Amino acid sequence: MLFNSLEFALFLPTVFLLYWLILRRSWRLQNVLLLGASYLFYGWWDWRFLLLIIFSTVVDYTIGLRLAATPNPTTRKGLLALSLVTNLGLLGLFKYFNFFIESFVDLFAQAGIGLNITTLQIILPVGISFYTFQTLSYTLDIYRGKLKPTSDAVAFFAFVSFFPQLVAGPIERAADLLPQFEKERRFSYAMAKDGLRQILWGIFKKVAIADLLAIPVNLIFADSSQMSGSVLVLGAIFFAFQIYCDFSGYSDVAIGVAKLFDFQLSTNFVSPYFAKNIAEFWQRWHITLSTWFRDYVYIPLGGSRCSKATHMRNILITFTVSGLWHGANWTFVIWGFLHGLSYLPLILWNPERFDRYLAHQSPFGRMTGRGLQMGGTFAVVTLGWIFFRAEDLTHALSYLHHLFSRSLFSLPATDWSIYLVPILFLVTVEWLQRDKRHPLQIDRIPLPVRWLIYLTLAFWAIASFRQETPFIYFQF
Amino acid sequence: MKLFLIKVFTFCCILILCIQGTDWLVPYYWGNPECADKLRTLHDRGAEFNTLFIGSSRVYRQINPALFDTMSVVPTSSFNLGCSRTFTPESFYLFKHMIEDDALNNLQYIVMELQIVTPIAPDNRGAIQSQYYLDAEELRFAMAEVLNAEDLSLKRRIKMLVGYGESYLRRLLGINTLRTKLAVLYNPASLWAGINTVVAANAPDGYYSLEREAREIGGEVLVRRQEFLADPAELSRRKAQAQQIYNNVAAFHANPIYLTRLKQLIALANAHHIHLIFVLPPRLQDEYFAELVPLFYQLNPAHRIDLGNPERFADFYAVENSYDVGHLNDHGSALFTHELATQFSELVTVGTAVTTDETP
Repeated sequence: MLFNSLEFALFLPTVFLLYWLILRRSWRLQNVLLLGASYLFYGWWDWRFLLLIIFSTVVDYTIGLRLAATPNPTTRKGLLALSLVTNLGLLGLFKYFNFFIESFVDLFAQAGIGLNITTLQIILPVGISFYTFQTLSYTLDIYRGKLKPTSDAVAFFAFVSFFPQLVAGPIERAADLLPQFEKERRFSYAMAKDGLRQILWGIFKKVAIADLLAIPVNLIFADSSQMSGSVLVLGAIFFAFQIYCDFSGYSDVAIGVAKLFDFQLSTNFVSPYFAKNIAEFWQRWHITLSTWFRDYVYIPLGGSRCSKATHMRNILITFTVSGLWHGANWTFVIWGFLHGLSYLPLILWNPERFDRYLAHQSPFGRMTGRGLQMGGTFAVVTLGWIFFRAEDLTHALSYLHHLFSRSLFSLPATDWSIYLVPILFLVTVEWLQRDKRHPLQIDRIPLPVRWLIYLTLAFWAIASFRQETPFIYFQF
Repeated sequence: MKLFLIKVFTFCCILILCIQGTDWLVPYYWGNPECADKLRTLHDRGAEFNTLFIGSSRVYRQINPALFDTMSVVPTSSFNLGCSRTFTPESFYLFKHMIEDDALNNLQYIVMELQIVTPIAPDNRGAIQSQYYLDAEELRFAMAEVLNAEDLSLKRRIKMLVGYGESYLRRLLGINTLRTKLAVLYNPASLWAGINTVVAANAPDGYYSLEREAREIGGEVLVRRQEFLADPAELSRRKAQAQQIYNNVAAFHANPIYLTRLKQLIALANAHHIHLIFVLPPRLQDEYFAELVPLFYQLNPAHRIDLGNPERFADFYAVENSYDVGHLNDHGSALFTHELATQFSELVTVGTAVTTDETP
């Protein structure tokens, strides 16, 4: 079930009313309702996906209890290994099996050895990467002694499958979300109102901006070899905003929906294109994934408390693995690696020195410096998006080849300016509201004006609606 | 909680009002580009025509107005307003707006194809043409008709109710429709921009036969022709089934909701001094005939023409007169138009004095 669908528009109020009007006296029954609703939500795609998530949940629930009950280090390691093998094994089988087989065959083919290994016809279950990481963090945290396992099976099952964030995050840690399932929830007018506003902003970004930008992006990327460099630049910029509005829009809806049920999910995006460098970008973009990789990959590798060379290695490994997490394609691996590479100068040259330098400049000088930092970071990120969006490496390289040609400085033959309007609107709103959790936190504005803003955004979103387009991150 | 629900409800109501308010700004036919294109011609030359044919492709592809006008004993100047995939209740919606249309002030006769209330397939529920006509009256009619149909299976009944319910909700919330309406408002020509210009240019009276389209354009209609020629047996089956239904019409019941609606439409037409005539076409699927034949015989004879009975109109079921399984070719259309004009002439010369019911 998609957030931007009629089914969801009927599903959400139904669950909301049952949750608060019928079952408000028992949080345990509310959990049962949330579990059933989440399975209905997920099974709407394909009921067979439910078998996988139930299996994964049962394994981690059982292992969690066993881990807490067993002091023996060897047994504990064995249990952790079992959880890792099960979760990563499922992820590997459903997401990466064909990729590794094809890459293996290609590698041997280049050495002149022909291999005949057949790939499998497997459907990638929606959101498998997200809930796998969520359940993995549960067993890892129990193993490390940071978390006590829950004995409430319904709460745990509801935590793993919680429908607002099940298919595309935010990736929640058990320590943050699970306790919210194990206590009484109270309806809060302020929270529910804020949730609705965040849902509206998320839907607006997805439908009115991301889906609109998908039109030129698809056109430009499909025919990139025939486009001038300047159009290809526009294509990359459009995609940068398409994917941002698509993914952050989903996160906003997820967080907003959770608020309606008195759940607080983690912030996943904080105006990432205002970041001054790549490190800051990753503190603002898909925050729950980057912190997951920080805690479970980067720090176990040694983090930054080591030599510069090892630190750089750790960064490259973490970003490359993060790239692979996004999809079974070399383009994602290269995308992650490029982000890692662009992080390295920050290790070699401390960026705080530049900040100290700017602090001594005039206000105009500081503004220019910050603008250049933001612009530079955006340019690097946007170049990376070309790999992310391209069909394969050849396509990405061809795109870059045509982009960095003489036609880079020519005027586009087609007028694409209509697509810049929503981008300018978004950037302006986000800049003005950059201190808020989301731009629709506008309580200081008089009520009639606030309602006018909500109505305008809702009307704009509905008027932009073309079809129920899946969110880009569902494929991951 | 109460305050929250009241505010959300109020917000939704205001939003829906804003969305529905755009209906006042666009022409009533905004969701059917083919029909819009034909109505554009009618608006330009409305006073020329006193007879209209309304319905689906069975009207569009089979009734030749020029031929009809020469055959009719009363003076007619007719226009074929049949459009592809325009079924009940969409045709009812168009009818009730058309007779109020000031540009069509010379109308004396409207000949409308009698059709079943058509199910909306899941894939079509988001289509503009499945939504735009669904005002409260048409939704009520479709729902009541389905609930009162005797011969519908429970599965089909549920599917139809869900189909109409979903399409109506989509229309109410403006999903898909609002964007199109605003586009029409911004640029009215966008309404018929997608229509094949060859059809528009070459069909001044609205008639464009399938055979002619196959010759001049080709494409999908040629495939349909080839498929029919490869296996014409379906036509014989339809003919046999239709005959069976005509022979046992007493075994089937007219849907009272549908019958009432048809009578209301006739009364509405009478109030505008228009003679409304329902035509039962040939070659329908058997379940269509099972529903329509008993209904047809409950209508006042002054307002009905039967062209579907295989015993009386064997030519309309002949392979040599066929284009595909559902439509006639040029020769078949000429026969069809001739028969229609003959029966029409009889009806209008006798007038509306004929009121007794007549069953075979």
